[in-house]
Formats: sequence, C-alpha cells, structure tokens
Amino acid sequence: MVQGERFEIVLTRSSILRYQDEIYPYLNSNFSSRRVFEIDAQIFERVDSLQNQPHRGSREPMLIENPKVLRFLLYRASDQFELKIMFFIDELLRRVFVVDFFPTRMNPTRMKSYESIKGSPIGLPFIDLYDYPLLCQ
Amino acid sequence: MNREKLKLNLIQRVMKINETSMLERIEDLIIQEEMEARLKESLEDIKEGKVHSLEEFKQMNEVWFKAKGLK
Repeated sequence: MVQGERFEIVLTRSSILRYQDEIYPYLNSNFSSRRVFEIDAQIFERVDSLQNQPHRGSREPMLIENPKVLRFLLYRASDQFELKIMFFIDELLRRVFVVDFFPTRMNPTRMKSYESIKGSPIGLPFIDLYDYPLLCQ
Repeated sequence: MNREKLKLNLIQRVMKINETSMLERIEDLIIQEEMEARLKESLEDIKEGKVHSLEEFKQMNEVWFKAKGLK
C-alpha cells in the first residue's frame, strides 16, 4: 500500500440502525450520559481509524467460510460492554464497508429485581435478551 | 411448530443443560447464525445503495441523541 493512501469508510444503513436500536439503549440504561458520549466518541474514533491500515483488523472466525473476508476491531468500554466493529475491505474501490456493530458483551450492570423473575411470562428465570439479540427479533 | 413455540421450546431445553461446554457450543452456533443474518442484511444494503459516509453516521447519531433529549 502506498503510504498515506486512505480508504473511504462506508457504513450500511442496517449497521447504523442496529447501533442506534441496540447499542444506545443499552448504554443509556447502564452508563451515565457523560460516559455514553465518551463511549460513542471512542467507537466513532475506532471506525474513523479504519481509513488507515484497515488490514490490522482480525479475521472474524465465525465468518471464516464467507466469500467476503470479514474483519473486526474490538472495542471494549468495560467488563460490562464490548463490541466488534465488523467490516470488509474493497481493495479496488479503496473502501472499507462497516457492516455491523456486534455486541460481544452487554451485561446489565443494574440487575433486574426478583419481581421481574417472578413476573417472567414463561415462568422461567429472567433472561436478559440483550445477551441474545437474535431472540428479540 | 410455529416460531414462537420453537423459541420457548429451545429456551426451556437450554435451561436444563448444565454442562458449560455444551452451552458454549450452542452459544457459538447462535452467534454464528446471528452474524451471518446481520451480514446478509448489510450486503443487501450495499447492493441497494443504502450506505452512508462516516460524516452521515455522526450526523445520524447526533439526530438520535437530540430526539432522545440527550444533547
């Protein structure tokens, strides 16, 4: 790569919507407003950093068989919150496509009360669906 | 079996598993399926031109914050 040559960052609409619908509500419920802004700015910086040397991102092992070479940058805010910025590189167009903000750790710092366990509609202990986003769909 | 019933059935079965390694394998499978589904959605977006620049991403988030009364 020619030194100084930058990649254009492109984000898919669904990745942005997931970020807003999944990540922000979690952050708002578990961190102070000030901390939410900090985390948001740090995530933005990580995405921005992909303009230079995007190949430093690790290959995503779960998508190793996909024809696209999926990579990620890990962002960790605390023991309670961690996500993968998922992307692939289009060498011809000199673009980095950000395709997902995948939460790998979103533990509630404020645990639900026993009332919510008793009130579970399926009579099972409370399951935080933030840990299982697919079940929320 | 309909989808909702299948979900509950799976949750109930998982709740009965005590072996950590088995739970981890199930979790990996769920994560993989989830990642693939989300990737598929994003690839469709790219095909349909539903993409945004970094600056637009920033602006969209600012609009979201304002709408929630956070900024």
